[in-house]
Amino acid sequence: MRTGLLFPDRDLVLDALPAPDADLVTDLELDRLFAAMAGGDERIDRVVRRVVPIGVRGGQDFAGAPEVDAVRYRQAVVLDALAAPETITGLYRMAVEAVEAERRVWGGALRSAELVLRRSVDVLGGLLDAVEGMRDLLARDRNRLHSAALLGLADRMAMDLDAAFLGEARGQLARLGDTTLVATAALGPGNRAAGFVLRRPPDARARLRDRLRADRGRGLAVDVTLHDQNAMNALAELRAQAVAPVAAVVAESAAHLLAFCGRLRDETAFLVGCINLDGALAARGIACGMPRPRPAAEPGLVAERIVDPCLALAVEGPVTGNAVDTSGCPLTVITGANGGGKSTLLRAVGVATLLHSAGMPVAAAALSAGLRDGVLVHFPRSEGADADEGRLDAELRRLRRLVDRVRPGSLVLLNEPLSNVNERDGSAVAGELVRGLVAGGAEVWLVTHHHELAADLHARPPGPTRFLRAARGEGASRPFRLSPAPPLVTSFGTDLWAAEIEGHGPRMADGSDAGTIG
Amino acid sequence: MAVVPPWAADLRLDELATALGPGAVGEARLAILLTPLAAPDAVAYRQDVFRDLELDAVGGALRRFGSALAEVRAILERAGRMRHPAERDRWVLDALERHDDAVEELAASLATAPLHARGLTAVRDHLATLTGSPSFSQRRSDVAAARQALDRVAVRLRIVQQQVLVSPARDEPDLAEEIRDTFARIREGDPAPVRVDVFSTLDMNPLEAQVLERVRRLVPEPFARLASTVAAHQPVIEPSLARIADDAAWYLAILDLLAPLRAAGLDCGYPELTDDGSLAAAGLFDLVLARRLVADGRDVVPSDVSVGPRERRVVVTGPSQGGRTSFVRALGQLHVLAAAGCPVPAGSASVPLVDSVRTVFDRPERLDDPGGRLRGELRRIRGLLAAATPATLVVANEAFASTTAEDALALSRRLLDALGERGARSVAVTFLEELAEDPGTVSIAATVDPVDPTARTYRFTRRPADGLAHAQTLAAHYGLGADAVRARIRR
Repeated sequence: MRTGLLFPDRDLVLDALPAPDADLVTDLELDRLFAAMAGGDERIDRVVRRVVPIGVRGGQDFAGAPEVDAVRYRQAVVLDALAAPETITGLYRMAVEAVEAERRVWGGALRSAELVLRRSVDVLGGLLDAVEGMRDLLARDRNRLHSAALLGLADRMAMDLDAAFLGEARGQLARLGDTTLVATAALGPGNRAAGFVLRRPPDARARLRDRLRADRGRGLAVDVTLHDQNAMNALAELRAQAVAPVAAVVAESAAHLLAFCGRLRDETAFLVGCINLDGALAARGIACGMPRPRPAAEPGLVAERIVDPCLALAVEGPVTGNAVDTSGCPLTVITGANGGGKSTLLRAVGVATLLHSAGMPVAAAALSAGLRDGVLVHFPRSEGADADEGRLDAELRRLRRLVDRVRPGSLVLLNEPLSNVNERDGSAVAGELVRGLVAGGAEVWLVTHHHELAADLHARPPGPTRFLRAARGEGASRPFRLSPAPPLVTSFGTDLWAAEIEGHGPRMADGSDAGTIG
Repeated sequence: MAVVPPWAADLRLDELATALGPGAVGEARLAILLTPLAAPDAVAYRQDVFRDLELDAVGGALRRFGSALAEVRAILERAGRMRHPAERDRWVLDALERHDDAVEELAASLATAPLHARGLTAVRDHLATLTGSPSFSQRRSDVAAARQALDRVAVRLRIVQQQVLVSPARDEPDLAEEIRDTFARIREGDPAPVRVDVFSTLDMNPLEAQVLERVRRLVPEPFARLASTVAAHQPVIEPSLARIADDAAWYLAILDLLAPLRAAGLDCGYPELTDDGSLAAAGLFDLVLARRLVADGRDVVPSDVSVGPRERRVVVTGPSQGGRTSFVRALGQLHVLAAAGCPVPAGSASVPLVDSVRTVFDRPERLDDPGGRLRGELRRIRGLLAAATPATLVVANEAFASTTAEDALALSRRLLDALGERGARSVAVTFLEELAEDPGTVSIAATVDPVDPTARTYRFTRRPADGLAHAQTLAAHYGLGADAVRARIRR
């Protein structure tokens, strides 16, 4: 029985998903997002860490641009979850309990056939009760649901778990409690009994007939003495061989039902995560909305009041949103003051792209963008080497690994690449990189302090390019607004240094100390 | 063979034992490899067998036969320890069937194979006679009938409390099937299979024996037939076939040893024998080193070598760590394998048939030997000279390294002269380049890379020793030669 809540064509198998890209999690500060989604639940945390980064993508390597239909499917179920949160959290709780109960029944590591059979019968009985409960919950709340995913699940459960099935299944489990075993066997290797097939125990009349035969044919019975421990062990072995095939079938049936509950638990865990995140952002007054999915063909992004939800979740008080419009631009270059919100905007764009690809609401009043084939990030690192040459090596290796994973249609966020290198070399290397990425079909957002790099890209853009500049605000209380503007010849680090470290206010007005270039 | 002879260890051939087979089996197979054949005809006999076995149809058939016999032996060995006749006889019946299947399969494979080797056509004829005999077909049909009778036995066991009731099987619903049908609708994907342990004694326990006894009383005929069939057809393994399998296993082990090398593009051909002492090999490589390099995915550099009939003294020079020792080991291995009738580590070769290959390799001395290394070395040389004949090849590697260069030069000349007097051929690795200039000496040296004269080529050709000294070469290897340093700075 399929669950199919998150993907139109398959169920979520958490272990099959790749581990999230550690750079992505660190640089976009996704831990905060995941924590808000999990709300302290470890299971939800595990699920969202895997599901959010891959979005709706599937296939062999979870690569390729997300399909518009798959995003729509996911968006519908997420909207259902936000509209009927009690139904989803109820399903989640029931699935968690069903899986937990199984663990309690199994306990030890001993797996003898009779033990497996006894326990599988218990587990299967419990699971039948659990899925019946979920079926009833979905039937009760059916009129509040609209997504194909949840309606489909409700229908499948109603059909597959009907009263006839449950009755028959429970009857069979009851029959397995019988202590009399009837089996057939053939002669296997070494003429030892083999090929055991457990037969349905005879009814009362047949039982009587059996007893009469037993009386007549005494010579063909073997009686084991209770005191003979070896013989009793041998009898237990014989019983085990007889029940082993049935034990395997019952255990396998339990495993299927258990796997169903496990998948449902993980899929609803993601939805509960969406509910939690929605609540957390709403509590901070962040506008969220579900963007309309568009294919990746057109580069760029148009957004109103886009914020970095990870920052919003971390700070007290309101967070300023940005309006950005880079439509048609495969390259966006952000320059300007330190502390002016450049990295924040980069993160906001990265997180929004991820959430969009995962069929989740994004933290913006409005957003329109094509679906991207993965988000790749390169943020400053202490490269873990002392010598300059070692640091450069390490960063180049990191960039090389990044480039290896870029595909046409990927979003690449380069935050101050090669800032450890002198301006001339850094500009040259980074310029080649950016041009190569754009030529390869990626969408690149670049934050840089390398003036020569920005000037070169401005003078000879590799394609339609948007230049954004972080404005210098009043003292340390930056407005975090970035507006379209060509790069300036100097940055504002000294200001910020003066403000933060030496305690002075800013001395000059915005841009008056530096001429524009271009 | 308890100990590998020291000369074989010097040629690293001792390392082949484990590759040829487990433990004593590998050692015994190595011993055959290390024993030179006396006559060219014996070499041709083995080469022919090797060539036929290289055909998949022939080699594969003998391989399968060998593993089938091993299986049969294992079954019989286990059956011999069993107490219950019905259990033991059933295993022996299996062994009979397995054995006869294997014999028939081998006979059929060889009957249609294009065999040329005398050794293998004899085997084919023997098998044809055997499988065509009336006693063989009688045995086959008896065994099959006994087995079918046992396969038809089906019983019903009813277990209530402490009683097991045995009766003939009847048609009753399969409980597992019923449950599987009921739950078919909830199956999805492949959840990890549930492990079900059935604890069972290795051999039949007394309760099983009692149950089996009831089964026998219920249906006595198949058991009687089993006992009579097994008794009538002993021994299970035909002794002549066991010998054939053992012999074939040696050939196949050698081919398996070479298979990875051939797969990596290193030809291993069959040498021609020369009777004038001349030697030629194309694509010669150190078999043992190559096995390691190929396993690590690294390249092997083969060399060509050609030595005329009267050139009985070869001196090899070149930078250390440049493959000199491997080159002379390869030469030694070439002679050993050729004399055993085996394929050799060279694409093509013509070699003299040796009666022995001996070595003079530097060897650490025991600490309680006050006479030191030199004395030990000379003692070994004394024994070596006493046994040397014109069909002996001596491989020397930096002989007399424990003494001064002047001494070593003089001693080496004496050694090579003495070997020459006995008509033996010698190949010596040395840093004493004067040895290479002695009259009547073939000089072989590592080739020089025309692009980077400091690089090692690991390839050897006939040419004069060129005076690259030890320390200079080593420095060049680390990029510290004058030219290399300048090139690096300019970069």
